[in-house]
Amino acid sequence: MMLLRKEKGEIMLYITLGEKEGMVRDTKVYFDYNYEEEWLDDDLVKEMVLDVDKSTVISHNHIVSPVLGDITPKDLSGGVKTLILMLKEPDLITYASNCGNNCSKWILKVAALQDVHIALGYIMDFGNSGDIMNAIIENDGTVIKTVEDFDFKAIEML
Amino acid sequence: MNNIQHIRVFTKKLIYEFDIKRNITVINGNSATGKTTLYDLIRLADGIAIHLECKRKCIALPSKDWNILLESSTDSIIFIDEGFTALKSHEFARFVENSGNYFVIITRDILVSLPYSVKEIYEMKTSGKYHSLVQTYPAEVEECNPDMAITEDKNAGFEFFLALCNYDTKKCLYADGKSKIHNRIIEVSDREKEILIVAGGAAFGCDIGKIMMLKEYYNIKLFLPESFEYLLLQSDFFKTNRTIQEVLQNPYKYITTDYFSWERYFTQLIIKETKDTSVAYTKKGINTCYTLSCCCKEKPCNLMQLGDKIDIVLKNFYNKLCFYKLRNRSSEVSEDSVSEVFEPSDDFANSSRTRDISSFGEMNKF
Repeated sequence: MMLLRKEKGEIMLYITLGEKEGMVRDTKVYFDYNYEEEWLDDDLVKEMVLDVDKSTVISHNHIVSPVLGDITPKDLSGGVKTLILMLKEPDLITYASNCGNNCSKWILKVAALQDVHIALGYIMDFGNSGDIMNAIIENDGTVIKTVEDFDFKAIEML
Repeated sequence: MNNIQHIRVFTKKLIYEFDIKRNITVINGNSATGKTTLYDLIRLADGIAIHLECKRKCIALPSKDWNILLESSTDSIIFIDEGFTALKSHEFARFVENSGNYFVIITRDILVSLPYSVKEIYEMKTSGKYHSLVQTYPAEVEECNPDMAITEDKNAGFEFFLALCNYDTKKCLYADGKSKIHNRIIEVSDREKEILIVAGGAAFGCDIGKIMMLKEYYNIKLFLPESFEYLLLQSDFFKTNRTIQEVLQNPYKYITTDYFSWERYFTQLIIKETKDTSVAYTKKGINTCYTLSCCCKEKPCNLMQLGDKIDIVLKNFYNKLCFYKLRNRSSEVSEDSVSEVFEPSDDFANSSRTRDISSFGEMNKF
């Protein structure tokens, strides 16, 4: 695949395949001791919590889970905590291995709004092979334009 | 008694119940299925708020000072969550190999240092408050009639399948190890050809993800018996060997956590049971007794079987596997072209179809 220059100002998903120094490996610890309550007021956060955790945000300290009942943000799944950190703390490098395939569409949605930096230790399913996917592999600067590009790069580097 | 460990951990709102069968179990899958909750329940189990039922001690391994805790733990079940920082380290892999504990690892990452089975990769199944484990890859063989086969390496397994392909090296390829199979697949430019991947499932867990991804792009079918040695052991060659039959009927009883993988166990077993016989097994250079037809037409060979040896090994899989295309010589391949590209092992090169008849005195060994 060709190496292309990122367009100036273009929002991008930056993926390090494997681990990266400085990444937030333990999402649970970082989120539980650093999250802001008002994050749960964000409509996109509420959508992610509903879709991934099947839970409804009632207020920023009250969430209803179909399995656990009334919970707090600390009881959310590791995957949705990682997504919230991608959205609310974009300077972080989050470890997207904490996210299952059911989080991949939300990673792409957040990356369409702002730059997102993730490290990834498995071949996440970002959709069908021909789907558009704009990303840069930070290991060697490879530009990803489709899910197929990503799949073969991940196979090569992981 | 077998070594399958039954675990039940529950509160008023949650019940987790599952079996741990081998020394390494991996749990992954979608987010929000209760994996980390399981780890937390193990960690916090107190017999009052959270109940834990298991014959062995269950330990939730923290990231800090994990090596100190592991050094003092034996015959336990160690649970590891995805935030565990040393998960991919060689130091941790060495501890796993030598510890004698069971390990339940919650991770989606590819763990190249650990030989875990494809069958011991699970997802969490949730039904209300009940949680159990479901195998992600339950089937060891897929229905197919392949155009070509790729084995994980150039050892005995490759030589066996090459014999199946009538020594056509265009039909039977090998990779430079199981972690390189994906490279071999990508080198096959024809995405329409049906490719059979033959690898030992007992240690293929870290590699299955890449192969499954490639199934989106290539016509790949999988044949993942525990190992090639297991493939021989389960055949009629050893049907009168009591030791082998007992192991095959109840592997969990015999393959304890002392063995890093089932692959190693089965290799040791077949080497031990065939040692000092004319059918002695070695990983490098397959004994032609396992591929060539019996050399003495009127009497059974040391393996007590006449007939096509390939069929004897594979017949239990013929309800799924059809080897018609592999076994029939294509018109483009001549005898000369096969001999030019294939370098037989010493056993192939020195094999003779005339066997010393005195070796039949050993047939009662099995």
